[in-house]
Amino acid sequence: MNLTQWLESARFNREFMANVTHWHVTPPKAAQFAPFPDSLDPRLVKVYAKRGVTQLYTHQHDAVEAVAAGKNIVVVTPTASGKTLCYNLPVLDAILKDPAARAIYLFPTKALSADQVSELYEVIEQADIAIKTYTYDGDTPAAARKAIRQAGHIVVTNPDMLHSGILPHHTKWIQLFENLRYIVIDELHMYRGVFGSHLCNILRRLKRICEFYGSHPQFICCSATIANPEELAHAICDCPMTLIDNNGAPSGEKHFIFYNPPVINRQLGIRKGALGETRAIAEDLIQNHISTIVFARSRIQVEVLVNHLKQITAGRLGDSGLVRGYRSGYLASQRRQIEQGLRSGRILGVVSTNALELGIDIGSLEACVICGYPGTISGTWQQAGRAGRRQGASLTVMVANSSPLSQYIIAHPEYFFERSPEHGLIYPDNLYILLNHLKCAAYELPFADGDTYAGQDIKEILGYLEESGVLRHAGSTWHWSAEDFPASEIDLRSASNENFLIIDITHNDRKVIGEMDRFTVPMLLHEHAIYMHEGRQYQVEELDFPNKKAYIRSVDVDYYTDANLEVNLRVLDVLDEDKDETRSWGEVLVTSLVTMFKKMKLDTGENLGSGNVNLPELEMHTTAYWACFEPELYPDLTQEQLQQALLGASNVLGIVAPMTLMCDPKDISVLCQVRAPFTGKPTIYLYDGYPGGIGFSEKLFHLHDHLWQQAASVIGGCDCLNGCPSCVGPDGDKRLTLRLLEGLRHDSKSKE
Amino acid sequence: MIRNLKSKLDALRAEQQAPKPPQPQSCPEQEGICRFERFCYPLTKAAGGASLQWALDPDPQLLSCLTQTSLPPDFDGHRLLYLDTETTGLSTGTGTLAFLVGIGYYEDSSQYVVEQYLMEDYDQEPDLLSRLLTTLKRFDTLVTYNGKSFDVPLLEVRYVMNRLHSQLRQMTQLDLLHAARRLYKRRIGSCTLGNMERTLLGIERPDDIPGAEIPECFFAYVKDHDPKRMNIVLKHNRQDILSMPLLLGRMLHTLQCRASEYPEDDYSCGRLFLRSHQWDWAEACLRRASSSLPEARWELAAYYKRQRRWDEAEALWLSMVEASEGGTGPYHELAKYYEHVLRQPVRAYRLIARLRASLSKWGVRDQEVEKRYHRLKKYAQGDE
Repeated sequence: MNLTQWLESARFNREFMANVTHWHVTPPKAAQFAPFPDSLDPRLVKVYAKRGVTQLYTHQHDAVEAVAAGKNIVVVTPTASGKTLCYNLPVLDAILKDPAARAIYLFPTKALSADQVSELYEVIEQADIAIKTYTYDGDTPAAARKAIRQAGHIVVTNPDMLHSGILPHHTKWIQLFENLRYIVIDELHMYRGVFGSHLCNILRRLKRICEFYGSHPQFICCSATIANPEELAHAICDCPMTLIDNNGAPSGEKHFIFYNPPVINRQLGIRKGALGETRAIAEDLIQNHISTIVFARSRIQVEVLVNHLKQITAGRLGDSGLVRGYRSGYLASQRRQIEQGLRSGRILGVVSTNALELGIDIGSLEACVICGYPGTISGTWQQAGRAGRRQGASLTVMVANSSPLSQYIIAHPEYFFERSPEHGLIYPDNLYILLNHLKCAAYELPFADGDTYAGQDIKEILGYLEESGVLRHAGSTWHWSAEDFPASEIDLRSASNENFLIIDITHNDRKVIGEMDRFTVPMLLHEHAIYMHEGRQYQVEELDFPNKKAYIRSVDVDYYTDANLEVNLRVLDVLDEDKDETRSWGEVLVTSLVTMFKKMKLDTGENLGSGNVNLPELEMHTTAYWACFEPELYPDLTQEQLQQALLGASNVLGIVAPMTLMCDPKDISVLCQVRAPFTGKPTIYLYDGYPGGIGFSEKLFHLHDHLWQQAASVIGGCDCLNGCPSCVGPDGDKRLTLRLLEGLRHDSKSKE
Repeated sequence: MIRNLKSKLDALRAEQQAPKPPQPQSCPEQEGICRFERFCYPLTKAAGGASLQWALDPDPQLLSCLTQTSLPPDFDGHRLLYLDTETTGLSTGTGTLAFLVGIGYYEDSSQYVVEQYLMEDYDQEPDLLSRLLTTLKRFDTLVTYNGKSFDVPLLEVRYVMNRLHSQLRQMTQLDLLHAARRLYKRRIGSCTLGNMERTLLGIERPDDIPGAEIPECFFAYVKDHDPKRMNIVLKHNRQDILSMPLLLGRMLHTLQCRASEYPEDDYSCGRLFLRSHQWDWAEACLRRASSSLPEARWELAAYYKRQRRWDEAEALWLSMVEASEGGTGPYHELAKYYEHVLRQPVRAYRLIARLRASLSKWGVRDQEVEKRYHRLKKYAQGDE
């Protein structure tokens, strides 16, 4: 069967359709073309013609024109729509016309930069022009670095290298900075939250250095579909942006099926496992020779799926190679192999975690099966975007797993299809982040009296840095006056510089396999904890708190651990609030303490015992939003009932807030107090998970009404009897929680 | 942007109760002018048998060999400018400064002059750099110790940061660290300037300041201008500038004599001369060294082979086989010689077979030996 026939037969399959909560069809779209702009160098046009590109899609045309007009642009188009041309054309054109011109290409990861560079090489070779493109990152051999600095037209790098390898050594890059015309930022949507806040500051430093050398580069950004690409690009690059989103690439008919595994135990509300259902669907597609990609949530799941699918596609000689697993960390050559296999049809199925969520071009497949909701709308679309040919039908099936978010989405497809995807939010003025980058900026180019940073007066901060001993004011300049190298003290993916190293001691060699921020460590890396890393199980043998190291050993057990976290919150400063104090936001001090943990069996959740944890209390300064409830409105409720209602509301908020903010659920935490010390009333706090705050609290303050409406609708719409994890949780009570929420609405009504 | 900035900063600095720094004394000198000191040394000043006289008039050929840099035959020691910096850190990033630059040069064939430029505060850097530039322009060759990877790149960074053109790129760079390694790494090992001073020149520096403390010394100095510690740094720097020509003289002397009391030095010289295509000198050094060092014998044999002096080469290889030196190398060379040059493949076969047998007695199988044995086996037909 081909895909169209498969879809037909699926529609008539009663068993299958019983589990389908939604079947969304997007009609096919024809290509919209536009000619190569006249301003482009004819040599370039010829090269692309030889590669089979004789016209441009509308968005590519518009991008080139906008850049030629001197604008900073952000191009938003789905995967496989030729966004690379949007930046390669203007850059190559500029260099052809002026061999001194230079450009920087920024990619979030090395894997991505390798792919783009190889495509550039091909074009340059075919055009037979003397344009030099190099990757400059941690792997670049020392001998090559000097040559790249002097001769490279296009320097391909990543934010980390830019931050610690290029900017603090800018005098070695004179040719680059004096002639920098373009800065290309690909995968812009990845730069949200902490990472984006760091990048914004890195670019502030970069622009400062460009000014020193007299250049004024333009920004060309590419983003996947998010709610606010222009706003994010503007925030990161700090300049007005032109949005290019008239995608002219063609697409065939797209089917999106929402599938919820059937309930197998009515009483407990337990459903059939998502992994098994995914496997069955993928198996069916692959056996019909429909090229399929499967996304699973963890490495273990990937391995289980790959093994099974390999078995069913095995030939007489064993593994036919029709199905491949895919991991980040593969060499470019291995990825090339898989890509070619997919294109030629030799490989029919690929199973991956979300490595492929990023733009690596594996060609388009016909079908995509997603096991468990990926957590964000834009992330889901990126995975779904892997399926889609220029002509003909394509299919995505999302199989919900038991996570509350998955269950919510699968039951509310309108949420997914009608709401815009997540916002990219950054908070570059988080004091911790800003201060660290200001130190780097001072290291790179001494500040003079009257200088500003990010358009703000920084005299006080500079004075503070002098008192801390890193700067000295002499003449009218602030000089770097310490031996340290500030860039090495910053981790671009965390807001504090106190990460713990996670060291694997399984094989008698100590290998650092990851890092974790200080605040999460007591929860996940206390001694005897079972820690999951890339889908593998480890047990924490030793946590060396003073030296910030956790030693873990690979294990294979049938239980997981869950630490008991006691959190306390103290309000330090109210930054904004309503007159009647129902909603507020401000600065808080969060203290957390882990004292014990539970061992729970993996499949049944049975409690196998507990253990003690001996770790210090941790403090984090951050921002929070909170909502107060007037006790007078609930004369009929006892303290216990109020407590239950609060717990229920907290549980719902923990689900609904990330959805409303459209952020990662890990970025935000909830805490409730029946009589909060600060307000004296029942209060629920939502605090940003990063020191210094990352902008969510203020956002929630403004989205207060919407947030609570969403909460009420989730509880009201939940099918459970009472207290399922997807609404009020096991400690809450639906009726009581709804009663509590009524009080809020009553409040807002009385305001009108 | 940042509300209540002051209170936040206060909160952040709560742990830091640093005492208020003392007010800097205002210097009687003009603002923005760096401190300058000049010292003169007679050419008779010496250490470890080497005197300043030795580097006044270096043999251009020998200097070229030593530094692996081609120099014109009329080269003159007056063209050399010795340079050493003291810095605020070890990285060559834009936040590291050379707060003290010491230079040395021969003047009028009568004395060795050492000049030091010291920044007493950051705003004196432009003056330091432009004064240094004026001096640099008088010379065309720069001599440093590890300057190629550190001092010179760092100074280039400083010139760019101060928007000044530097002369450094146009100058020939001679880095004595690499020269020292070429000669002495084999025998002495660590080729830090301090170690070279100690072992070759007999110079000890009691009460010297450890390098790691120098940056802190400067940071304190700009605030309190207390001369005590900075004088130690200045002295340290002066010694560096003095040691370099002494060391250079010593090294040139070694190359000149080609007869060291240490066979390792002869060997190193030999190799250096080979690299520079000074065949006669190379041979002389290697011959001396080969009386004690097997590796010298090996190198000398390779040299004879290249020169087609087969008898001499064969003699060395045979002596190495006799003394069980050089592993299987001499056997392979002899085999190749017998097979391809003398055209006596049976002789080659016998030799390799003997080697193979004695290796297997020790339970060793060598891949290269096996390969050659099996290739030569066909010549054994007649033999067996």
